[in-house]
Amino acid sequence: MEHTLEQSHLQSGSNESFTKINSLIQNIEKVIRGKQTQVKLVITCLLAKGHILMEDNPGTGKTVLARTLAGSITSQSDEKDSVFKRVQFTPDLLPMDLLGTHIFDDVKKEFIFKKGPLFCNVLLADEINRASPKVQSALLECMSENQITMGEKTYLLEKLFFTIATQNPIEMEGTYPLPSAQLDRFFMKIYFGYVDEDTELDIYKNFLKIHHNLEHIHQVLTKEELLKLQDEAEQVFIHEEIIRAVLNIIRNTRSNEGIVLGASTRSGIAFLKCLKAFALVQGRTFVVEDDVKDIASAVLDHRLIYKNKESKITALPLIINQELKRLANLKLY
Amino acid sequence: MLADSISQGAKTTIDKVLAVKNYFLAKDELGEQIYKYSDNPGIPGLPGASNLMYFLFESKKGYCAYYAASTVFLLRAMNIPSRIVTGFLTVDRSDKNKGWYWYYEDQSHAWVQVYFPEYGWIDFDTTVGNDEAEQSPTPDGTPPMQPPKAVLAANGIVVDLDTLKKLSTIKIDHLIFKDVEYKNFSQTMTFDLKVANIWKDSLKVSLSAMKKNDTVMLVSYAEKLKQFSPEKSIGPLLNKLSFNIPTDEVYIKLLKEKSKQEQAKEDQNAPQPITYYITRLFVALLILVCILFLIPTIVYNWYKLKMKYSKHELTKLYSTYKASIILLNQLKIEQGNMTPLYFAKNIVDPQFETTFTTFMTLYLKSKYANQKLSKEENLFVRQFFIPFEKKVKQQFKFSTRVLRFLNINQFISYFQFSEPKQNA
Repeated sequence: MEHTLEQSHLQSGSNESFTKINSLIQNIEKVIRGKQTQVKLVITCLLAKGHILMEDNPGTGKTVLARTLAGSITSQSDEKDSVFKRVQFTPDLLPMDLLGTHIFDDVKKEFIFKKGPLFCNVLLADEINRASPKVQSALLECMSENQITMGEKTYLLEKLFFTIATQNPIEMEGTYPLPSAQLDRFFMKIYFGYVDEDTELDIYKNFLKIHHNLEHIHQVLTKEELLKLQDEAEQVFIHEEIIRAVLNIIRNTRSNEGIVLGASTRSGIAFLKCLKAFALVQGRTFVVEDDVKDIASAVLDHRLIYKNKESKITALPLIINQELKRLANLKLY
Repeated sequence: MLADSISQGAKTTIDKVLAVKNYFLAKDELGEQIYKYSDNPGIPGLPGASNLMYFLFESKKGYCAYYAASTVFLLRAMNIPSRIVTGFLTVDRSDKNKGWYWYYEDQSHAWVQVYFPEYGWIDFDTTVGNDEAEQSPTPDGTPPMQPPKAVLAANGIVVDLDTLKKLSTIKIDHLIFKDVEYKNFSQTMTFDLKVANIWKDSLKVSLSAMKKNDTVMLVSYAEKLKQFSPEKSIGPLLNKLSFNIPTDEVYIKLLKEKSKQEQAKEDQNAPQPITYYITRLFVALLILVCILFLIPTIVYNWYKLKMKYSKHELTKLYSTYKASIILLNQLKIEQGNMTPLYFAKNIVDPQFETTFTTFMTLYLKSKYANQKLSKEENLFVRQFFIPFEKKVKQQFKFSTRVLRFLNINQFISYFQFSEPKQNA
């Protein structure tokens, strides 16, 4: 009985959507080993209609994850289904390379708009911080408003528009740090880190198979299914006290001594959206405090400017844990 | 003549005597006393005249002797046998030596005794009061009395007591006889308490206040003992004193009294109450500490009771959750900064093979989802705690459990917010 109870509970709400998410996760894990947390966070961002920024040293699997995810949710053959585009950011990249440009049509004797790679469903902006700030800010409007304005005309982007950006640590050479306005538009910034010893050994043993999997990744979610999941994520129940906890965390980042620039209201909204989506990824139709703990630092860390290195490590976990303690001891009746 | 007029209407002897007394106390129309008291009555102008006549009919003032003498003459005129007596009139008792009175010159007095055939000589005082000089209390003039010297003083424990015969057998361990001290022995002696004053806590008490096993001190002034002379050792002396020793004073010692006396002595040297209060404070603290140590157990059982008897489903769930967490915390399975669900999944269930995770998810569901639990789930929640507690307790020895439940520090740590460790 206990087992069935747990099963029934975990799949409470929509069995269907949970299966879909699970199959997506499994599909990704064929290629990405030992990164379940990061995979879940990426999917959370996808379902929350947000964008994600991944940062770590080269060779830790950022691009592979992005490609695998993109492969799992986009189709290479069907034009009407999700489209995946990849842009490699370089210092000499220009905004028009992303947005598209007007080209003179010799036959019709007029300028026609040639859409750039931004007109897609899943965009992989690889090494985003290698491009100049001019290009980075070109992304701003697309990411927040899902539209592109070129001269007089405004072009709407696809309803499903998900940006996976990767970047190398700022300390590395040849990088332009993202402005905080840009950073704020990414729902999450996640760090990859190296995998543990056993997983790494496993990767070395099976690298051929993994590479094969990457080449032959197949689509598990169609555009419609994904949009439906996004709607479902919005329907996830979030208790008033959890909202209050988010509020307290956001406000505490502003009053904390170790934090120079606190989190914005937009980040609070992003936090709530992510919470809902993450609960769905975890197979729940309601948000619990564990969700707050799991995603808080991914959502907030990159938006904050710390006073010093020490507060960078301690300030945010302290705020989050205080709030979680309050939630855990809360008597809700 | 005068005697007849005074005793008019009085038939019995006593009436006549009282009539004479009233005659001297009579007042005139103005309310003034006719006969007055005076230490200086004067003498009649004519030499050889009767002082009696002068007092009764002219001066009408005089001191006691005047009144006594004239009363005697008046009574004898009525054929009542009477006589003059003299002595001292006093109420002043000595404070220094009980039973002593003192007399001063001005307290000398004279009054009348009347013979009644049935009763003998009865005192009557017909002297009028002295209005002019109310006697002021005079100072205690008794000389300090030499206290009587005790012949024998003994200290011991009452072994046997006969209140009828007023005899008591006492086990003596310390004896002083005629200034010779005998110590460190233990012998029984019989004491005669017929004339003894018994004192307890500076109060005079009856013999019945003396109880067996009381520690008493006995003092004797008896003449009978004076004929014996002290010996070098206690043995021969006790042989000589093998009769019932007449005792004059018995002091029953109270242990409490003794400690009071000691305290009083120490009071003079150092501020004694401090140690007294410190002991009290210490005891109070000790009790407080005991209660303090029991707090985890109390709180734990409180939640268990609540879980059992609460009707509200949410209260039940919350109490179960709290009780589980406190139980685990006291057994040093600390939650720390983990969220409850994570804690259940990764720490508790792997260690105890329990279903805490399922419970936690259900608890969180009812807490955050505003969803009512299904019947099945409710049943699970109700049946959760007892096997859970059993499984957890199995892994610890009884003594370990008890000790850990007394660990108040552990209990406090549950409420404390521990700062997250720095992870480089």
